Amino acid sequence: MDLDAYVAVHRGQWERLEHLLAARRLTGAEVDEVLDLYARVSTHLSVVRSASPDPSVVSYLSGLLARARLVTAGRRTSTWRDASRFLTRTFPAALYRMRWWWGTVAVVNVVLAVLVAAWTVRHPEVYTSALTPEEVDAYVGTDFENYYSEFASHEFATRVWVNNAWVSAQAIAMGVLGLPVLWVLATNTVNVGVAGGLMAANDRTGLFLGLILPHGLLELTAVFVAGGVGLRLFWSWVEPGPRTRLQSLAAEGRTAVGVAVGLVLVLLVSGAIEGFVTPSDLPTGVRIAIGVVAEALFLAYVFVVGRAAAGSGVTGDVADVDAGDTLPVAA
Amino acid sequence: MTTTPARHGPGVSGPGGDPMHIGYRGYAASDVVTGEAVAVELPVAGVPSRILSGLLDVLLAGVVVLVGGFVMGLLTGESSEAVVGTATILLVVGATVGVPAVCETVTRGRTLGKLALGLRAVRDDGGPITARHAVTRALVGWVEIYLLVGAPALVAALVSSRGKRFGDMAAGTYVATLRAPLRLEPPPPMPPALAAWAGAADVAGMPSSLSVAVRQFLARAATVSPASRAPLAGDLLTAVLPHVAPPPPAWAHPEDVLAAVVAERRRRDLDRLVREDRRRGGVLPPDPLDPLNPFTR
Repeated sequence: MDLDAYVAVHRGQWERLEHLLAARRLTGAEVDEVLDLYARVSTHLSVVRSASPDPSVVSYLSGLLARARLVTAGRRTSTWRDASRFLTRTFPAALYRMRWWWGTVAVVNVVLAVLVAAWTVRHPEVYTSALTPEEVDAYVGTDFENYYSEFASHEFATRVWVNNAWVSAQAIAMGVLGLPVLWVLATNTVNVGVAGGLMAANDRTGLFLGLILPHGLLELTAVFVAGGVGLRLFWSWVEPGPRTRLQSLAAEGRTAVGVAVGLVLVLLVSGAIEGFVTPSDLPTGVRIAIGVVAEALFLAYVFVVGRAAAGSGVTGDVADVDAGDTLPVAA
Repeated sequence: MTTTPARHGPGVSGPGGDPMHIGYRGYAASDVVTGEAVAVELPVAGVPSRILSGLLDVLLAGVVVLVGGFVMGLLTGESSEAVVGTATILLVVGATVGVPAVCETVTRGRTLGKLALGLRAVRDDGGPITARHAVTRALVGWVEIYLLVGAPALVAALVSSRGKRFGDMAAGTYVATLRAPLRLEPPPPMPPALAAWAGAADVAGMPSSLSVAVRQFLARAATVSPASRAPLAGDLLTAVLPHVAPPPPAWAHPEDVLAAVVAERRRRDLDRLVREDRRRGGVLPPDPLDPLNPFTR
């Protein structure tokens, strides 16, 4: 087979496909034509590659086919159904499947915070080296409490929400590298522990818990979920299981970013509580009860909705058609 | 249209395979097998192109932050620190993570930098990326490009076999160059002196790898140094002669003989293709996709 003859006979069809791919909008007939031409040009590429492969022709036809595939297979429609599917199946299933990771992270960090608080009570030089006694009194007496009412409730709630959502997203993204997640978690835990120890040393434990528990339960859970998911992401390429490292990392990476998006909504709830409930005049018992209810709802969301979704095979990754195809490998 | 990434290019002869079998292995290419069982060559973008397109994207993010910061300063001059803090985070995140993610979702794999250099982010199997892929690339890109000043991204792209930075690895994508123009040299014309001989000769038996080599040599003959041009032509003629009967006239220049053989094969193939299409046209209705093809009308 002579390449020049083949190119001369079929060039018209290739140029027609180029012309169609460059069009902004395609009519129905043109889409059918693109699909037909895709199949035909695939055959042309196959013939050229096996009979007389000229590098320029092969690259050109490959690029043409790749662009045709993008045009024909790249359309995605988003519907409300997709959003509800994300909230009722993808996100809770991902949370449920990683429950051991963020559960362990939560337990370890709570224990660590308590230990740090106890240490701070025993060793006041942790804060006396940084704050004068007047500053300590101001912090314990008024500043800690006024932090929550310094700004208007809605401004404060939004600020807290955006900040927490971004910190969680970063914690998950850093999971690819691993160690930064531990640093973020440790910083957070030590801060909470030192603040708690400082308040406890000055006999304000009740105030501290009364201000932290309403929003802190859900917010700290979200932070621990972010940390756990980040560590799971790190583990996915350290120990990939039956898949190749890149396949494992890619699947867990997409799942983790899905969790990051879902956590934005969880932190919206905790931010609203922090902005509106914590500084309010409601009795402490009621505020803590609101926090406990929010946390219980989250846990129910994970362990009831998530368990059902995970049981029906949802992994938290994108749909199979979007994840692409991979060569099967022996485990 | 399902695809799988192939580990080797096609035509790699296995043990005991035909030694003359064409092994086409594109230079630095990555082959993807489509659902039609055709190996498509999607060359991975080189690291310098990636660096340049990344710099363009960072520049764009910087411009967005500057302009947005100015606008934000105007709008929040009277507002509290909380509002300013919120707006700052939203601006920075929007410029560095949001803009690339939205661009790549809407254009299915291109940002401004990639558009400028003709690159595109595609899935591992060559397909189009979706929103989740784009957000993953952008979010991990924040860590490796902005927080850590591009060091992990550069190292990963240099070390990885398909030029993936950490964001690509976490999303299951890579960046490819999809645009390659068709550069086919004009075919060598038939030397008039040998037309009579070639018209009656049997030239069909040449293996395709040899005809590809001859054609590529003839296309570049003018640029080959004179010292190696004659030996190359001689070698090719020696390889071609066993497949040509009757042998060419002795006075003929080797390059003229090669050009005559190639031109004759081209003429016969063109006649054959046209004849086959005519026969097909007599049996089937006209091709709806190619009604104006002058060769097959």
